[in-house]
Amino acid sequence: MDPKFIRALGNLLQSDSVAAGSGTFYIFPVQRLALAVLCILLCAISKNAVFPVTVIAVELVRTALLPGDRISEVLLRPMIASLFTMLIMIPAAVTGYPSAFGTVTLKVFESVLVLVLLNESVSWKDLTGSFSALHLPDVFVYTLDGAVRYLVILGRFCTKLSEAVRIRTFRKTNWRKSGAGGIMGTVVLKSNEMTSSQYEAMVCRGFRGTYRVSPLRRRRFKDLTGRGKIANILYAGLFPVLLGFFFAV
Amino acid sequence: MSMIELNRVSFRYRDEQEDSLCEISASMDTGSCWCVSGPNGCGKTTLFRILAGLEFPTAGTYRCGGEEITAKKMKRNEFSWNFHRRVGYLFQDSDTQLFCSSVEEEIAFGIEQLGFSDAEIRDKTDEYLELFNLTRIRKKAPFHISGGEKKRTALAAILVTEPEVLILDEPYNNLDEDMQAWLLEFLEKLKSPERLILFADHHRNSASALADHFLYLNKHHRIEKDDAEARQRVL
Repeated sequence: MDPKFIRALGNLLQSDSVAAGSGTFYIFPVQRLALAVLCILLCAISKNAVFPVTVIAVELVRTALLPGDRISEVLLRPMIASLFTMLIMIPAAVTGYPSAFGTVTLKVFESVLVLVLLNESVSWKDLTGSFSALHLPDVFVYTLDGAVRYLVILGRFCTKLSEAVRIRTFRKTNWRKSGAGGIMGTVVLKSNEMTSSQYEAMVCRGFRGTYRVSPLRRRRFKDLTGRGKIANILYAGLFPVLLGFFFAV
Repeated sequence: MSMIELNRVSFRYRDEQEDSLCEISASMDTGSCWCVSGPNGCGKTTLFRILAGLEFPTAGTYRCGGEEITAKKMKRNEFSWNFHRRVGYLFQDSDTQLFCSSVEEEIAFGIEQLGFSDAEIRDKTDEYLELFNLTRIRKKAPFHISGGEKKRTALAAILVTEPEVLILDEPYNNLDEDMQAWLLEFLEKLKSPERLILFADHHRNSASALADHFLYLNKHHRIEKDDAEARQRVL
């Protein structure tokens, strides 16, 4: 594996973990997540292109409201996913199913765009924390949190290691590629070490084997400001609108 | 009765040929501040890990508050919880100590485990965020903050549970001069008759300002001198 790829992976994971702000119009992450899942599900079962196209149009308007430097980044990911889908769907197009080619590509673009925009508006920790509102076990939230955390930390570690390999490379030699194997091995050892350190750190602070999602993460409706309450009620209204539109088309 | 009593404690890591600590004896009371010093690899961190109940002596005994600390006892959840409630341990590397999703959750974790109510958790977390000047970054993930902020977060996360024994493994690591001065002043304020503070240090000035007892480990993993001689060696 090329160190450049590892470096790119590290950078990607790092950028993915940046927390988004909540602001006055705080929308409960569980609402955002539910709406995103509903959008993707309805798109998947829609029989024509009207619903996905409409959702894409709305999502593109949302994208246009983002800061300039984020727009290209947001659009890049669904476009790459759509490109791969198009390649995979070429046989369908040439064997007489051009509509399937178009619909599947549209659905993939829509699904990825919805997820990318969800990632833009909700931080990872709020997203995983929202699972506790769905009454999923706290240990599930903890596992997800831990996975994200390790992806970021080990991604960053990979970046540093690959940089170390790069600055010690004076000419093109084979050992550079074998260095990637070394990086992977070191990352595995590092992750093992970090896991035991984390457990020790938890025990040192009184952990007794049962994980509970922090009360600081649980935001209640009554904690919101007036604007926040109205925003959440309006957001909840999007669910029947979306369902109504789906059945209408 | 001393808060911490080490009686001829030796320790050897699994698969190692020689001891990492050799016959360490010391008696430490609350109200005192100890500086553990010595060259790299002399066993300072190993000693602290034993004191924090993460490792156990292969020979000799370690008593905390009169109770002998053994691996068998620490396997009992209740005993372990009671012990860790009294002993706070700041890791040498803050990165491995911070595991929550945000700075505020990191501080709240310890008091949650102690069974505080939700309202108390919120109040105490706010208080410590303010005290350590972390309010601005309270929602940030610990892996996105600077080295000094990580150290302050780790320290706040430990101190929020108000432990009687505070073990700080090289607390000045990765801190700039301003932060070192702040930490020194802060630790000075932490000294109290009810608290025992132990820290590992290479910074001679901070050691002299803070510690009133010294323990010097040599490269053979033994205590080289008694308290007065160790003081001379460190200062």
